[in-house]
Amino acid sequence: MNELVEEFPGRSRQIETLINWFGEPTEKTPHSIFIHGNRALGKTEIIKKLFEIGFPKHNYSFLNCKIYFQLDDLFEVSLNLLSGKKHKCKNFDEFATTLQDICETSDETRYLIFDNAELLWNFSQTLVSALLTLPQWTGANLCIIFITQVPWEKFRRYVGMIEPFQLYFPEYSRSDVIQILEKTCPKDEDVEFYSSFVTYIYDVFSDSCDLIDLFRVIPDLYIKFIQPQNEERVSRNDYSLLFNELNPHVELALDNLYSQNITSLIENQLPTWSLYLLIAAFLASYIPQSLDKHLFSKEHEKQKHSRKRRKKEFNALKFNEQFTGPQTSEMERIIAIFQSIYQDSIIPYILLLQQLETFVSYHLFTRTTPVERKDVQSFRCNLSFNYIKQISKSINFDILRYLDDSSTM
Amino acid sequence: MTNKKHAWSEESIAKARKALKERLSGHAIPKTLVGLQKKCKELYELLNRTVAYGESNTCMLIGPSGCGKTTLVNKVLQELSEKYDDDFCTVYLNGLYQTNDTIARKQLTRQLGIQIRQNQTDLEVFDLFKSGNNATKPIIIIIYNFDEFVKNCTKPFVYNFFNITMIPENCPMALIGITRKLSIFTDLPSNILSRNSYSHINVERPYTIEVFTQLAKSVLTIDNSITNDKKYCEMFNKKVQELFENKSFKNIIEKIFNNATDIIRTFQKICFEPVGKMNMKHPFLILDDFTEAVVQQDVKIDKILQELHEPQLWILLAIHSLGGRDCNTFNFAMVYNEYTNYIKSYIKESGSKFKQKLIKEHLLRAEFEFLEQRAIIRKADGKDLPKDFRMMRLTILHEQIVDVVSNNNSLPSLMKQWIS
Repeated sequence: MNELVEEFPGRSRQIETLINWFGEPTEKTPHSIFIHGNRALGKTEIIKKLFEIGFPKHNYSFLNCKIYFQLDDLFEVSLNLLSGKKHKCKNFDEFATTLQDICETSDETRYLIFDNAELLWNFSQTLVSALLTLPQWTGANLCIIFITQVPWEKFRRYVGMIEPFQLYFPEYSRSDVIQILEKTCPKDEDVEFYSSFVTYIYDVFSDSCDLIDLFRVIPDLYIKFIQPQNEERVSRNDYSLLFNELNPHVELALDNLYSQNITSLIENQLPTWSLYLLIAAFLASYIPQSLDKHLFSKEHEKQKHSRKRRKKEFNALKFNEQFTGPQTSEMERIIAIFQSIYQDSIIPYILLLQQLETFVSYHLFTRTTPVERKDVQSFRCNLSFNYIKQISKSINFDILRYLDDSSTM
Repeated sequence: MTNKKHAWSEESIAKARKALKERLSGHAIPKTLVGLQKKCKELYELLNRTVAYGESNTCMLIGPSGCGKTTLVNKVLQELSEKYDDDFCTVYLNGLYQTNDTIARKQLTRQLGIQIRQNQTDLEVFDLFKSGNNATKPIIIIIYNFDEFVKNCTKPFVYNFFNITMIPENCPMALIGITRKLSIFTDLPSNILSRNSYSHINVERPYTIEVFTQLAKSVLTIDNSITNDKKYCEMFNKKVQELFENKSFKNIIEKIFNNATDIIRTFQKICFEPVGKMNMKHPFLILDDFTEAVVQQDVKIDKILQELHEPQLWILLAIHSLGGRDCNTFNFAMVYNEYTNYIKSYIKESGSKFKQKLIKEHLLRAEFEFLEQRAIIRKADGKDLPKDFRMMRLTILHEQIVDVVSNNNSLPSLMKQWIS
């Protein structure tokens, strides 16, 4: 218990409550417990640790609902964990019956723990309410524990389900996080020095980062942090200078936090003409077909739209392009646009088809018609505008000519 | 130390704790059903007729969750088995568990098989019923979540169930359906309804606070059957009595009665922790523990919203602003556009001196996804679009966003200006 409290600063209240609820092994526990709170607050870790230390192996089953995608698996694995034997279990009824048999072997409480419990709704609409009635139904000393990020009000889909006991994990306070981060201090480092480093990092990242992200960025940044000092350019005590040196790296880490750049990957692997094909598909997905003639035909200067009508069209376009996402377009149209924007050489039709297939398997495109229908095929481009901008920059293609042309009018 | 201090034996405390926990977790059958005595008698007489005289019956128990339907049935069955011992069989079915005919039939024969003939578990169940006669053991079938059961099982199957109870030569059978749905009779097909004897018992939740208080008190009171330590019992009950006379405890009770849907379970939830804390040092229930438990159990969505990070609040504000223009579904592209427009216009107005750092797109997108993970926003349709364009809708009210932002003083004034 003390060990746990020490390992998880700021969580003593929650740990105490849990231990109180569980009580002596043969005492009854709450029928169900609903543990919720934001990500990276130690919900799963604390439960895992608590059961590892305090309970015999066959008294609990810990299941992460992300791992199981079939109901049978979920049942069979949990029965296996509880009894140590293999069971065949196809439906909830069998699960309940087998569970009853297992629980009859002793008075001690059995725990069924479901991590990421909001995914249970994907299995069936009644599974959650069925699970919640299990302890009452079997009459056994059973405790259902759900761990999730979703608050109870949003978790229950309808009113009238049995309400579990709630345990809320609040956000860590600033001092809690710093205390946790200090635990990552390398052995040969001065704690005070390290703690001023993590405090600084926390203040920069706290708004957009959770604990897990912090753990990820800290080792790299720490190396950068002590680098000038190792090179003996800056003294250890000159914090302001050290932090100044660190700042560009922090910016970079913040930028790369949730995005990985794939453009270079695409650029290096593909021939130039297929980059044009990507652009063509992007244009086809974002520009309404009615504007094709105006934008891509060579004599488009001669075309005379009434100004009013064009404006209306482009307003609609602007809304579409920005907010409703890419539209599907037929393959013929993509290829026509491709041929209009790429005129360096003639690419065989079959190569274009092959390339389109590749893009679909890369998930850069989505096929919106069934695969079997080869005669009419439609695609949608999934690339974001930023990627396309980067790609067109690398091949000196002025994509804004087409898009700006439309949005400025 | 006052001389009032008495060394209570650890054993009696542990026994009391265990018994109370059993009650609070809903496993124990209470001695008296406060407020339900009349219904209890009604149901008892009905089932008694089946068991004693072989009369077949159907009956529906209808009532909101937590009003004591299950306890009522359990109590009556307990009384019956005390009186008749093994002279009848009980079968429990649950609409949530037996989700089709085959499973239901299997479960039915399994439970009967154990009770009637050990080795004939796979017999066709209705033949089994029909093979019985007046002399066979009466069967009481209890179906929880009856509405689900009717929905999941085929109509002929349900019809047969009712039909059997109509034919006097068959073995005597009572069918008790338990449901929360008031509309159960209108939902049933008419050919099934015609087989139903239309009897139903409406179970209501306690409607006066006096009844509820009495009920709550009965949950916490202990007697000699739990521990032989008479002095401890007396003292314990006295302390409980004191608790119920205390003003702030009365407030707790009142609050539960007025606000909770499932009042009894809510009360149980609050009691669990104080009971768990009983030990040698604190042999009795303490008021402070109750008030603390109330605070802990009462986690409302507003509290969660208050703990959101600043970028997430920006997203919610942008959504709120979109909602003001009748855009009730939104996607990330729209939200980000709304957000940047606001910040840019602010910078323009306030002059170049003020520089509000614009949150980068990918960071905000991550926060947007986290909001979805916490179910504060939800997908509006099943269309498979790139994630920036997936339409979402809010699961909370716009007023809640306004409340959270305007009540938090640590947020930048820029945020507050957006909602005013």
